[in-house]
Amino acid sequence: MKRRALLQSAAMAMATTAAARLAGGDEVSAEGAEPARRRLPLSPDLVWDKAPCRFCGTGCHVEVGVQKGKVVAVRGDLQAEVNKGLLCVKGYHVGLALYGKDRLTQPMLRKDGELVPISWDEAIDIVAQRAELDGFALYGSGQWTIPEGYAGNKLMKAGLGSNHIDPNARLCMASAVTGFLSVYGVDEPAGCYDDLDRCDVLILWGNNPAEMHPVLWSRVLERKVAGEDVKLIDIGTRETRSSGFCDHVLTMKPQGDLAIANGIARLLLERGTYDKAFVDAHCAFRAHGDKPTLQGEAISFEQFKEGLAPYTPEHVEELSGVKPDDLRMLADLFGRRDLRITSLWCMGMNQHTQGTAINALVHGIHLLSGHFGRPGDAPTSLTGQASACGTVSEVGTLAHGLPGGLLVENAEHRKEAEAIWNVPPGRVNPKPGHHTVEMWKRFCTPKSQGGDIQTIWVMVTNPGQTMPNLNALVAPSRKLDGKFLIVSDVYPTATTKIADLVLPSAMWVEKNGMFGNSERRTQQWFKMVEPPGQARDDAWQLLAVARRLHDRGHPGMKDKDGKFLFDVAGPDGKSVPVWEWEHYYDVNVDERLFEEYRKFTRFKHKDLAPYAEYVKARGLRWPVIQHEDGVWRETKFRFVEGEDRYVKKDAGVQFYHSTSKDDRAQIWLHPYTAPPEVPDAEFPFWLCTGRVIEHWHTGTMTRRIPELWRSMPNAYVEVNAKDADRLGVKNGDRLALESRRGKLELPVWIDGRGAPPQGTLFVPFFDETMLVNVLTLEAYDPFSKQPDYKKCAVRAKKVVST
Amino acid sequence: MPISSVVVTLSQDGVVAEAALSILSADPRWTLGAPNGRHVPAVLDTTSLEDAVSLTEDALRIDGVQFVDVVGVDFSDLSEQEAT
Ligand code: SF4
Repeated sequence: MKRRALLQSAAMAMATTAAARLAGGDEVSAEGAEPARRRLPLSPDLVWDKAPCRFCGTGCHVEVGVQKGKVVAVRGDLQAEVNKGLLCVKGYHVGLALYGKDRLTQPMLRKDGELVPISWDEAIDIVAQRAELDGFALYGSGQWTIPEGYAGNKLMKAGLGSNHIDPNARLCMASAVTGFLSVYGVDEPAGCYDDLDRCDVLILWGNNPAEMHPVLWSRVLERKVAGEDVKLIDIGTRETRSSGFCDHVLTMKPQGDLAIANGIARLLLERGTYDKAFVDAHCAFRAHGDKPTLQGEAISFEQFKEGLAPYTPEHVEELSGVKPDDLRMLADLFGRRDLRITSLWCMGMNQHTQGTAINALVHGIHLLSGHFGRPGDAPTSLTGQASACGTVSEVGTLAHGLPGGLLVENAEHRKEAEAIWNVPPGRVNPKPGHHTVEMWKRFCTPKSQGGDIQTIWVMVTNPGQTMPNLNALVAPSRKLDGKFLIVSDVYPTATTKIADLVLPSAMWVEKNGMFGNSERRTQQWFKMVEPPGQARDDAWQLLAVARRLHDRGHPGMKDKDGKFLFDVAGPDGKSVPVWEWEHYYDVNVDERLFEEYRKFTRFKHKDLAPYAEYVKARGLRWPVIQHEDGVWRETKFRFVEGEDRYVKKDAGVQFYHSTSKDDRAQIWLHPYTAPPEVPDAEFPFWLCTGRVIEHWHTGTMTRRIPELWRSMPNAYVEVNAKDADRLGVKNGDRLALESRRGKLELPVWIDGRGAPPQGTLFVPFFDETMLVNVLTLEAYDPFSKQPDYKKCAVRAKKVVST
Repeated sequence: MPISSVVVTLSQDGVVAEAALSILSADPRWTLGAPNGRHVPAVLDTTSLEDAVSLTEDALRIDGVQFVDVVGVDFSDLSEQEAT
């Protein structure tokens, strides 16, 4: 009883501190001194440490309480700028994600159709043997930690001389990257979450932060509730939980965003309300020539204007369904210099066959109207995964990339990479590997017919559930001779179920780690508890395979001096055999990998600080520069004088990676194009897929947390009430959905959590018992190669039970 | 028997906020602390995390409750989670 009372009073102290913080009476000093509450742990014998939340790209920090080798408490970290002590329902339960009963705890090999336990030694041998053969690919993740991704990239590109590595982030934020590259010549947002605290207008472009980035959303709503005049505008194909809080909800036809952005730009020019001074000083205009490229070709202001001429408000209404008055309202706002406007987007604009184009267009209206470069004035993409920016975009775990934003096709970049890796010239292959869809397509094609991928090693992701058009891009591989699927994961998943070899992984605070969130913030944490059974770190698995290849005589596993590619020296200068699990934590391998990776980050001005700086901080936003006083300081707003140290004095704004090499950003002309598949008489409904707040992506962790699972136990099809009437279904009835690619039955939820317009259905993808990706389309953006999960055509029929 | 620390944010309308506060005070499952402006610290001592979640969801339905933020949870007494 006494203990319980103590726990309750400690809990009240924590809540009181958080309430004070929310009320503006923050107890945490600006210098980051230990707040009083740190002396008041919930349980008196808990040991607390910091870590970013395991789940989404918001990158909240939690404090993790460990007792007797087990995570027993979590609390929002008051010292974290991102979440200021708050967490969403997933973060609140993140500690429980470790303790599902069916954790994978030993390697398993498929023999006679069954997965049977084998030793780690045998498992590593099998992976090494497959890696020696042609057609070996690594399929990684935006949930890989930064050191894991770096180790995977180095193993493939510096060791095997192969670029067949691509991540699941190809499916989630690749179009944001190509959008940034085509406009600024370098990726990731110029602004940061501080923009959310300063904007007067926030526009959601196909974005539902109330469910996908809830802590950021509550940061915005808090301002509204406090009486601040912040206008929220939702532009999307269905109403969502976010819409209810918005001042304007503009429901558009799928792909209508292209027309809306062009319509705004046209009105700005027609009315003369664009920011001529900003455009003259800092922008240039681009369009595709006969042969489209990411850089495009220069066009004049007049050509740009001419290209926009068709996008009258009336024509935009035809294409998008958005009323002319609403379009004028948006143009009015962009035309005002006294307002600060932030645009937010995520999958709605990225999972789009014109993803690069719509990203560039939204950047374009910000540039054209001068809504750029002041806190609160920013076009900002949000990433879905915890380290999509950190591990994919920055570490370059892409088929065409090298760490630090370098490219395999560029001879100078290859030279730089080979120098840092100390490998012979020519080791890095100049030919990009296969991007995700192509990799899986070739894995599903017989070798004799061009299927040149024979083995895929999947880490920290679940393509058996997330690939589009599963019946074409995953299932066929399981029937072809010679195709071998290796999966490293923490729980049984739709992918481990069809794998040939399953490797059990450590997760989150069972290992050291680093993530990079949506706002360029690099975060670090230490291992706090042991993984279960024989589960082991993904970075260890990669290093162990590299060493096995080395021992089998693979020439790529040695550097120019004959040393092992991943040689790690201990404090005495002698090599530590980190490929042996019992020695893996003799040194901090994460720190060693990170310090090597850090050398790449200066090329594109994405400078990272030494590892030790991240140990002290709740993340730092790059570029992190050491100032004259010796202090490493982060950068909140890039390309802006006074904020970004790389901007020349008196430049004001300088796009120093400009593709036109003149410090200018590119404003693109991208005409509207129709989606690749539209409803017709045979398949009359639009189908949109997405996420729900309770579940993290494919639900492999969150469906094992009973509280989350019970509150959202299974997938459903969200149906407009009028459509439900017409189809003769009520809540709980089952609808059979069918596309040109597959069929699926789902329970009906009329209007659901969102409100789809007539003719539109929505299905979440978290449920492995109802795989919506048997229906989706594999068509992808020509530059980012990111597929469109937001729009395809289906038909629906009531299931009549017999 | 998890213990959750939460902050209830009340609406700006004093009358509705007052009414919400009295509804919460009357519920024995809620232990309320001293309000700081519109932000009221509270502790939920429930038999399961599920109960804690549904209590916070119920609170959100009360007129005058703007948000309920969960800032920490101690689940040291919970046994191993069941797989679905
Ligand atoms: S918003 Fe994202 S990072 Fe923050 S607690 Fe929720 S899931 Fe975790």
